[in-house]
Amino acid sequence: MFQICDVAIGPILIIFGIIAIIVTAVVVFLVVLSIKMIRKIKKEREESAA
Amino acid sequence: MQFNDYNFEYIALFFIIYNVIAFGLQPFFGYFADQKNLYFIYILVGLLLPLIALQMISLGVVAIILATLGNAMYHVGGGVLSVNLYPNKAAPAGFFVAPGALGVFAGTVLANGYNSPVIYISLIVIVTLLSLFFVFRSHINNHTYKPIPKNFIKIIYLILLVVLIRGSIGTMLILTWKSQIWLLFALTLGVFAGKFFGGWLGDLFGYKLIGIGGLVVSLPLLILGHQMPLFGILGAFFFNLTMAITLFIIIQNLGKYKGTAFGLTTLSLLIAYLPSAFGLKFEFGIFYEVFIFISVALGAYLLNLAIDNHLENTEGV
Repeated sequence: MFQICDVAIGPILIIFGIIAIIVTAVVVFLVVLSIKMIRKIKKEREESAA
Repeated sequence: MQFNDYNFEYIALFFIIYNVIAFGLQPFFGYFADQKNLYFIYILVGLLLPLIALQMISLGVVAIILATLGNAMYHVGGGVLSVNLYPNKAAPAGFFVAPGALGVFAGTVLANGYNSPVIYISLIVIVTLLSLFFVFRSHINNHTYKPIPKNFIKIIYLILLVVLIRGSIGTMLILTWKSQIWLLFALTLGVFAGKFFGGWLGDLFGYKLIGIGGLVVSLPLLILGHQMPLFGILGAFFFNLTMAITLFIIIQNLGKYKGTAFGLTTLSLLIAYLPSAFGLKFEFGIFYEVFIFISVALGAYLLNLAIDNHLENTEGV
């Protein structure tokens, strides 16, 4: 176990890693939704131009 | 380790939650507002929610979520109403966004103080809320917009990449003197002035000259600013001149979806913020300098492409 100043940092790193993975997944999800939204706007533009 | 009754781990978590919601959800808040023309309601609710959050600050994450939802709504609503005042100018976008830099600084100082600022901030929010209500109640929102051009996808992605690169540089910058409060205040003023005057100067002298010129001039200043505050502050000013210009161009190319445009830029900023939030940092040295150089050069090149495409559309109209 890593140890700095009497504080075990192993569990902190694990929690931090889990938070990092969750936050990254959420952001990726938001990016995918945004790309879909832009495509929807593109489709709307093409329909109004036709 | 604790700060104002909270563990630092919680503060870090709250900070990430705040940024993910406030920055990440804005495209969707914006899209909804664009569809239903909710900008006026957004600025009112956007102030009301943080006001409620302030009164229940002891609830921690609940207060954070309320405040951050308000932040997202206010940014979209206020941004679009400001831009609509002068639809073909970049200046209003900068005027609206720039004070945020001062707000973040003020928030940091107040949170570090011994006395609770809740009452004073609440009073300011109430006065602002009432003022905006009475001013905009009878205001006819001039939501005029140009048709979405054929090449809008290209322009949007170019601008979002520029915002992403600019955000990455902002989070990775190493300024050793930033811990001194007065120098931090001067730096904040530099950021504020760059954002505030960027659009206005762009309207006067051209978006290429101010946007790309600002980035290029900022490069040596930011590197020299590592230890020399004056260069760092000037670098921050020139670096931020592009902000209003990129915001203006993306708004101009998304037709009625101005709120969505605001939101997409903040989502880019969120992506840029993540690596530093997870602890990725450069040590000052050759890699840092190369990173700053390549990022600024790439940002300037992509911005040049975006402005060229945008100007093609405006000249063709």
